Amino acid sequence: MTKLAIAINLERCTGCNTCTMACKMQNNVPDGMLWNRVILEGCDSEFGAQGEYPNLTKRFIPVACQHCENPACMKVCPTGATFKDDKGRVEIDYDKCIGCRMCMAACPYNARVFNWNEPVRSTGFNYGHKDVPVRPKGVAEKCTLCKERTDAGDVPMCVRCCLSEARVYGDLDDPNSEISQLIASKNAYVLLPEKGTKPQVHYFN
Amino acid sequence: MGSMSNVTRRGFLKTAGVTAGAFGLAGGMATTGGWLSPNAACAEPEEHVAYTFHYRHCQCNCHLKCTVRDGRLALIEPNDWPNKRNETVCLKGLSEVQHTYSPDRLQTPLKRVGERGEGKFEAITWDEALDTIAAKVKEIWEKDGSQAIAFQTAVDALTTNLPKLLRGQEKPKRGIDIGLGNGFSPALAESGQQGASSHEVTDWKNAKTILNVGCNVLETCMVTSKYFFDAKEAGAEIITFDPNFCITAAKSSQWVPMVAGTDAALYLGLISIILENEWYNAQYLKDNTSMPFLVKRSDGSLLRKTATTDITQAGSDNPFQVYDENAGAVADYNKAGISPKLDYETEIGGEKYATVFTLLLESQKAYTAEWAAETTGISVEKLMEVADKYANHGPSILSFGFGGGEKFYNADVAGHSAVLLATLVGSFGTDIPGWGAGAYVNAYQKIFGAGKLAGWKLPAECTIAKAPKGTVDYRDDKSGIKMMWVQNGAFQQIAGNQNRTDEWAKTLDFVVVQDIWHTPSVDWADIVLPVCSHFECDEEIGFLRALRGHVLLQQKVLEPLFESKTDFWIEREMAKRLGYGDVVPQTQEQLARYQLDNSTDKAVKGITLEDVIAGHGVVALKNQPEIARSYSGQTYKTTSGKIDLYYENLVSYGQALPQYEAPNEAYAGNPLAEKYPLHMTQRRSKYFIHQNYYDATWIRQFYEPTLEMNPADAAKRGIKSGDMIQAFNDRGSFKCKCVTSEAIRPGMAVIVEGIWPKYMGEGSLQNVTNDAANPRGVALAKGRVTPFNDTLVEVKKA
Amino acid sequence: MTDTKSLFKKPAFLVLAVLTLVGIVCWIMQQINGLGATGMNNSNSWGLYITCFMFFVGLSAGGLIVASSAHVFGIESFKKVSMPAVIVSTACICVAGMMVLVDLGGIQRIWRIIIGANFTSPLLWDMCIITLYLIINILDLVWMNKGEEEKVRKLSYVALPVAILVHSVTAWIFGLEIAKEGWYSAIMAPIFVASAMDSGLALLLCALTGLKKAGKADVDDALFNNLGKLLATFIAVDAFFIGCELLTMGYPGAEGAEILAIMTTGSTAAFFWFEIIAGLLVPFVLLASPARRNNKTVVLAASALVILGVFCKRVWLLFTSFVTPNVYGGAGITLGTSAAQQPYANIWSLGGTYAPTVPEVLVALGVISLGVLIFLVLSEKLLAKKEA
Repeated sequence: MTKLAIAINLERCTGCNTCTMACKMQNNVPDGMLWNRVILEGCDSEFGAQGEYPNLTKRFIPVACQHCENPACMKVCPTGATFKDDKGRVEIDYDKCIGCRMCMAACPYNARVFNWNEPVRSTGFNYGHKDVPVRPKGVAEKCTLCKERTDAGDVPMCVRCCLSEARVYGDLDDPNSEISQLIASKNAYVLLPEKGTKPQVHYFN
Repeated sequence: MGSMSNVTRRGFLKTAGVTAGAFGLAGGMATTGGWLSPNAACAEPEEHVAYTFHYRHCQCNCHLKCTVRDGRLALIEPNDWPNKRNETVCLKGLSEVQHTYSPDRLQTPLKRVGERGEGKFEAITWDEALDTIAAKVKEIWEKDGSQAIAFQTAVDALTTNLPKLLRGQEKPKRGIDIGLGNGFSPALAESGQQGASSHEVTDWKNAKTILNVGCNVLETCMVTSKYFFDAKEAGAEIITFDPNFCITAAKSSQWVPMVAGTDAALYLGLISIILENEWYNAQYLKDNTSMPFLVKRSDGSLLRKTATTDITQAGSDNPFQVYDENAGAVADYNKAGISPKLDYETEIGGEKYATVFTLLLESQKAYTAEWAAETTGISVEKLMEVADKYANHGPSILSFGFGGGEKFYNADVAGHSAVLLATLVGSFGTDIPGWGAGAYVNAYQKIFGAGKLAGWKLPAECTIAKAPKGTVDYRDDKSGIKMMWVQNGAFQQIAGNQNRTDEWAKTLDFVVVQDIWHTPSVDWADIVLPVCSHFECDEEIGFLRALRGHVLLQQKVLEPLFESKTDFWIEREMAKRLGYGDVVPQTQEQLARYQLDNSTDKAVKGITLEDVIAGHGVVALKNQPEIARSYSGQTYKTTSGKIDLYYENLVSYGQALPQYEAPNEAYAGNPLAEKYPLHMTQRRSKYFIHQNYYDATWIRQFYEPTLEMNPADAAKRGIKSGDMIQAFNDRGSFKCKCVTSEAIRPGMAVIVEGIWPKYMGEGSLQNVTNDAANPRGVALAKGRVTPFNDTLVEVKKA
Repeated sequence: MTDTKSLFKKPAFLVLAVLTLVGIVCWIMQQINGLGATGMNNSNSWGLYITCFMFFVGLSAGGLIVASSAHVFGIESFKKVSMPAVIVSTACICVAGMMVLVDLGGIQRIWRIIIGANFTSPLLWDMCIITLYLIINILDLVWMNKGEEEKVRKLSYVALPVAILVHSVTAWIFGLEIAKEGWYSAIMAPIFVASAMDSGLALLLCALTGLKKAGKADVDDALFNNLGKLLATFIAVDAFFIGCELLTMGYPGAEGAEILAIMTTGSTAAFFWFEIIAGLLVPFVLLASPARRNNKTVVLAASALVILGVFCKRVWLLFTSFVTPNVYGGAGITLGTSAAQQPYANIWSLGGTYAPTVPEVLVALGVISLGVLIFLVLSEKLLAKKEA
C-alpha cells in the first residue's frame, strides 16, 4: 500500500506563506480562500508573539488537509464525494458534492473551504496545473496533496517551493522513505491526536 | 505597437469583463455547464513553458519556469538549476501569476496634464513621449550641462546604457543601504561600500558563534533561510540582536533585545571586553592590519617613511611605519622578517607617536561594558557572555543587514566599530571555514558568482557625470539637478521627509518616470513610460546576467502586455533620438551574444548563448568554489594592502577610530521625545520588495498597512488593535490601522516600508521620516545616510 | 362552517402565501448567487437553516410522540388530540426537511445521495429517517381520517420509536462530530429527544388553543391541564439532561469549560441564559402548580416560552462550537465569502463569525410560512371534515 504524506519541521518554518501561495497558484484556488494557511500559534495576528516582552515565543504552523487515516470528513459525507484514494490521500469528487458541509463541521482542523459564491479569480482566468478541476459554487474543496503532481511522481507544490526546506513529502508505508525515517527519529507528532483522526501530515521540531 | 500586443490587451480586457459578470446574477447558472471540466478542458489549450529570472532586489535572482496557457501566465515554479540549492521562488515570485496583470500596470505612455504631483495624465503615443523627452534632454544638455540630469534606479530595471547615453548622474547621493558600509567598508576597501565582505552564506554552517545584529534575514532574504537552519542544526549558536522580536529573533538560538540605534555602543562595548580580557588575536592584528602603525599624536596622521599630505598614497610606495620588536627600532611595515609591536608609544623628533592599537586602547576607555550596557539596554553579563562566545568560541561570524541600524544618523560609526570588532578576532581573509563578517547577503550576488560580462562599447563622451562636490542630498541646492529620470518607484522610496521631496520635485524642469506599475512616484512625472515586466519581451532573447554563480537569461514568457515596452527598447529608441542610434546594440540577442562572446572572465569564457538557451536560461559559471570566501589569502585593495582600521580621512571629525555618537532624534534623553515619545522604524517584509507588490491582490490578501505597536503603548493612547491611527511629528503625518503585538519593543512603533499612500488611511509614511544630513557625510565614501529609522513620532487614534 | 375556499381568503393565509413566495424568490436568488447570500462562511459553516432544521425536527417529533403514546400506552384522553398532533407533526417535519434542502449548496446533485449513498453519514441516516417519518405521518393522517383505528394503533408502535429515533439521528449529526467539543457527547440524543418532547408538546398546546378558538378541536380543560402537567415533566427532564451535560463539560476545567465559558459569558450567552431562565425555569414554575395550569393563558405563555427557549437552545448548541477553532492562531481562517474576495478586507477570521442576512431570514421565513400553510390546509381539510 501507499500512504502519501507530508512532514513539516516547525523549527524551520518561518511563516513566509510561500507554501500558501504555491498551493493557491497550483490548484487554481479562487480569491477569498486558501487550501493551505500558516497560523501563528496562539496569536491574534501574524505579527504577534506569545508571552510578554521580552519573554516571548513565536511558532508558525502551516495547516492544510491532514489526509487523516481515519478521516472524520469522509465518514459523514452522505454521497461518498469525499474518499480515501489508493495512495492514501483524502480526495473530493466534486461531481458528487451536494454542498451539505457535513465535512466542514466534521474536520477538526478547519482544513476545508467552501465555494459560497461563484468563484472569483482576480487574474480573470484560471491558473495552475492544467488538469486541476475547476470547482463550481456550492462545493467544498481542500488540499489534494497536489494530486495532479503527485500522480506524476512530483512532490506537492508546497514542498517544491518551501524555502527553508521545512517540508518533507513521501510514503509513510515505505519504512525506508525519508519521511518515515524522520517521523521515527524526530518523534514527530500530529495535530489534535486526541481527536483520533490519525493525520498522515506530521509535524516535528 | 505590434499586433500581438493588441490581441493580448483585448484578451485581457475581455476576461476582466467575464470576471465582473460572474460577480453578478447572470454568471451563476449559465456557466455551470463546463464547471467540472479541468482547467484545460476548453479544447486543447495552447500551453508552453518559458523561462525568465525574477527581480533580484531581494538578492535572489530566482530563475523561473513559467507555464503559459493560451497566452496567459498560468503557473510558476523554480527552474531546474545545475545545483539544486538554487532552485528557489518565494511568494512574491509566485504572485506574479496575478501581479503581472495588476490593474495598476501602466498601460500606455502618459503625459502630465495637471499640476506636477497631482497625478493627472492623458495617454500619448510612444513617439510623442520619446520625442518630448529627447528634446528636453538636449535642451538641458545645452542649457545646464548633462550633469543636471539624474538617473535614479530602484528595484530592478533592465537598463544598461541609458544613464551613460544621458551622460547624467547615476544614483546621485541617495543615502540608502550605505550607512554601515560607509564605516565598515573602507577598512577592507570593499568597493560597493555596503559592507559586502561576508562569505557566502553557506559558510554559516561552519561557524560556532554567529552574531546577527539588526537583520531579519528570515523575512528579508527568505531564499537563504535554509542556510540559517542548516547552520543552527550543525551546532552554530545564532545570537540575534534586535529591538523587536522579529521572526529571525524567534528562530535564533538566542534573542538579545536592545535599544534601537545603539548598534555602535554594542560593538564598542564588545571591543572593550575583548581588549580588556586580551581575547583578541594579536598575531593576526600584527600580520594583517594597521593596528601596529604609528600615529602622530599631535595631528592624528599616520607615520610614513616620507612625510606626505596625500593620505591615499599606496603603502608600497611610501611605507607606513611600525615598531619592530626584533630590531628594537621603527621600521617599514612591509619589511620582511619584522615583528611589529601592537601596544607601543614613542617620541621621535620631539613628536609623540603611538600605535593605532594603543590609541584604540585609550579611546575605548570611555566605552566600558557598563556604559555599553546602559546605552544598549543589554546587561553586562550578557555582553560578557556574547564577547566570550564571539572571541573564544569561534569560528565566528558577525552579520548585519540593511534595514536596522543601517538607517540611523550614526550608522557609519557602527559600521566602523563592527569592522574593528570583527578584525580583533581575526575574521577576514584567513580562509578558515566559518570566520567572517559583513552584510548578510550582499556579497552573495555582488561578489560571489558574479561573472563579468563584456560591456558594450559606447562613444567616449557617453559617461556618467559626477555629483557636484559638496552635495550630500540629491535634493539639496548643490546637486544642480534639473531633470530626474526615475525607475521603479524610486521617487518616494529613497528619500526621507516626503514633504521636502514634494517641494523639491516641483522645482525640477522635467521628470521622466519609467515603471511597470503606477507606483506613487509616477504621479510626479511629466512623461510616464510603461515598461514590460520581466515576463514580457518583444524578442525571444531578453536580458542576460551573470550572478549567483550562473549565467542567467531572461527569455520571452509573454508578449508585452498593453502598450508596454522593454527597458532595452526604450533605451534603443532614446539612443536613436539622441544621435546614438548606430552605436547601441540593435537587439537584445545581439547584446547578449556580445556580452558572452567578448567576456574576458575565465568563469564566463566559452559559454555561448546557445548553451544558455539549451540550459533553459541557466548555465553554471566555470570554476566556482563550493563556498566562496572574501579576501582569500589576506589580499586587500586598501592603501596599505592590510586591513586599514584607522580612518585618516576622518581625523578632523574625530572618527579616525570610532567614537560613539547618539542617533539624531531617537536617543534617550532627547527633549523632543516629550512631544514625540515613540521611536518609529521601518521594517522590511516578506511580502514586498520596497514598493513592489503593494498592488498585488494575491499579496494583499495577507497584508494590510498597519503600524505595529506594543499593546501597552497602544493602551496608554486608548488605541485598540485594528483602530485607525494617525502618526505625526513636526515633519508631517500619516494614517493607517494599528496592530498591537508583544513582539514590538515598548516605546517603538514599526511600519513596513514602501507602502503606497493609496493603500494607507492617508498620506505617505515618508511624511514623518527623518532626513537630517550628517555633516560628516561629505567625507564618507557614499555620502550621508538617510536616517529613516532615526525618527520620533506620536500616535493618536484617528 | 368554513370551507377551504374561505381559508384561502383569510388575511393570515395571504400573508403566509406572500411570505412563502418571497422565500421562494430569495431561494432562487440564493441558487443563482450561491450560499454566499447567507451569513455563513468557512469559519461558521452552518447557520439559521440548520438551527431551524434542528428546531422543527424537535417540534415535529413532539407531536407524533403525543399522538402515538395515546395508542401505545392507551392514554385515551390523548386520542382526542392525536389528529391535530399528527397534523402539527407533519407540517413541522416538512419544514425541517425543506430547511436541509435550502441549506444545500448543490441541490441539483442531490440524486447523488441515492446512487452513491454513504451509510456511515448521519446526514444520510437522517434523510432516510425523516422520509420514513413523513410517510408514517401521512399514513397516520390518512388512516385516522378514514377512521381505521386498528391500523392507526399498529402504526403507532412503529411511529413512537421512529419519532424518538428521528430526533436522535438529528442529534447524531452533531453528537458524533468529534471535531466540535460542544457537540461530541452521548447525551446529545437524549437532550434532543427531551427538547423535542417539551417543545413539541408546547407547540401542540399552542396549536390546540388556536384550533379550539377556530372551533376545529375539542379540547377540554382537564386535557389541557394534563398536557400542561406533562409539559412540566418534560421540561424537568430536559433541564436534567442539560444539567448533566453542563456539569460534564465544566467539571474537568478543560476544553469543555472553554466552550461553557463562551456559552455563559461569550457570544452565545444571551441565548443560553434565555433558555435556562425563560425556556426552562419560568415555564416549569408556571406549570408546576395545578391551579396555574388551569389558567389557559398561563399554559399558553409557558408553552410559548418553552418553544422560544428551545429555539435559543438550538442557537447556542450550534454556534458555540464554531466560536473557537481547534487550531487557533493569527491570521486565522479564510472566510471564502464574496467579501473575502476583496483584498484583505474580510478574508481572515480568527474564529467563528456569523450573522444571518436578510435573504437568509426570508428564505427561512418562507419555509416556515409554507409549513404553517400546510398546517392550516391540513387542519381545514381533516379537522373540519371530521367535525362536519
